[in-house]
Amino acid sequence: MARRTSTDLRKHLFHIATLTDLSEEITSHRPFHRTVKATLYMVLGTLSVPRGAIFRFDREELAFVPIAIKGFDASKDNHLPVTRAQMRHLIGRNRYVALGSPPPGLKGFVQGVRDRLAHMQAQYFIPLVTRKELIGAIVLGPKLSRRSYNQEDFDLLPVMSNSIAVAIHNHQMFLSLQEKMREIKQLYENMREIYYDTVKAFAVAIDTKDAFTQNHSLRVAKYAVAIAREMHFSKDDLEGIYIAGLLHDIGKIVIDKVILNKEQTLSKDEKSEIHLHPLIGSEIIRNIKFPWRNIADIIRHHHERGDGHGYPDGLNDADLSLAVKIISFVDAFDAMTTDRPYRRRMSLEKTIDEICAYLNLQFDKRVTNVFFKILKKEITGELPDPQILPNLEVPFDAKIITQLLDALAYELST
Amino acid sequence: MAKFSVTDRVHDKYVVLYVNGYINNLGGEKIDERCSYYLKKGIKNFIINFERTELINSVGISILIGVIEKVLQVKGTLYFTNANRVSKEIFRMLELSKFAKIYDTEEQAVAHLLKKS
Ligand SMILES: [Fe+2]
Repeated sequence: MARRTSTDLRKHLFHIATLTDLSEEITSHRPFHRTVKATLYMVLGTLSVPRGAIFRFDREELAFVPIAIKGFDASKDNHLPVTRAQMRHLIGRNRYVALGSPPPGLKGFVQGVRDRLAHMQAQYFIPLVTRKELIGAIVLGPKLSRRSYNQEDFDLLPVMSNSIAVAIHNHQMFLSLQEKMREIKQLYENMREIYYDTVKAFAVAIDTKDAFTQNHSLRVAKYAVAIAREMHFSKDDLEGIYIAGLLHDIGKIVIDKVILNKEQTLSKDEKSEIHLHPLIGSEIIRNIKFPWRNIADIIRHHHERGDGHGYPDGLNDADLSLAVKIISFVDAFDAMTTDRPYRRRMSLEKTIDEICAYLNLQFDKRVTNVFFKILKKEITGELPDPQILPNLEVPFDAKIITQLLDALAYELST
Repeated sequence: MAKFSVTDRVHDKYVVLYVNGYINNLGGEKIDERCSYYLKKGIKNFIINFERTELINSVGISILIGVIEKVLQVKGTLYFTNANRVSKEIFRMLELSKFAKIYDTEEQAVAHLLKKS
């Protein structure tokens, strides 16, 4: 009697240890397939059963699909198809199915299971159900000793299978969440792309209005990104400055075409009308919820100058953001190197001279320095993907410009 | 806890597998792997020495049952030796002892095995 009691105690302790191991395993952050495998081993070890498997229920395939197998051939087709009626039976049953004496309504299903799993001599099929939802199943073969399963086994099984059901359910929720996240990210990417295309269409509209400024917005955007990249802007900010470059003159769409293309000197009124375009532009953009920040701000201030003589707000250097300084720099650079209604384009050398003459007044020193560095690298072929030179339609002597830029680099850095 | 490992001693009639560490997770499958390796080489008799194993849980038992099945399949003999009291009780309780002979020492198992053959 004493011996039996000590064995019982040992058994209870072993079962408790298994349940502890089981919950530890399920709450661990190990890869899911390892966790399932370990839990299968725990069930089999505790019941002393050599062969068994854990299945997940695939709602689309309407079948049980093995996710852990022990003691028999895993390469065979071990999928267990199930009908909707059988599914309902399994959910309603909420306990094991003895495959040797199947309940009515599950006879066909059980026959299928026995046929498919003949190589493991399946004896019990335990549906895994949480909250009336079929999650999967555990299938068990005969015991090592060939004895029948006893009451203790049947008491222990639901406890273990519940934990395993929760683990599989959680994992499936995790997977579907991950899938949703992917979808949302894709939607967001699509939205960004649509924005891009829309903005590009706008830029084309702006540029065609002004006969002389074809592709001006696109070049401003490209040049700005080249500088911003050199200045280590984040990916988001690079996109933002690109969009701002494309849209900086969007206010011009409401300015009279005749004024925009006028070759003679503009009257005072005409000038003030043109000077409205940054304000109008920022107002047009302000109500659009862009995924990028500060677009409206950049548009409003792209004609401001560090010396306070810009428009519309006459801001000072300290009030201008780096992005504004970059856009206003490349806007002026492109204006100088292309033909305008009132003058011909300047040579590159003259443009550089002009920039130097207005350094700190109109052109920010840091931005100028970076731009010249990029220009030099593009001339010497150091940049694999040049953005400025291919767009530049002014002739220049590479040697002279390089020497000039070298001398300026020294000056600008002091 | 030291890393789980299995070392072995090969004799022409048998192999002794020395298990170091807890057999409480899938790492224990190394025992199964070593056993399969020698089965393929035609060895049928195995002694598993548990002297350096303090703890065997349900995962460990499941792995050992796998080893038992493989050895039985080739009609070989399996010995478990030097297991502590708790492990021996578990082997009996789960009836692994019906298929693996339990000995207190490796020498006793070797003596039995050699006498038999
Ligand atoms: Fe402008």
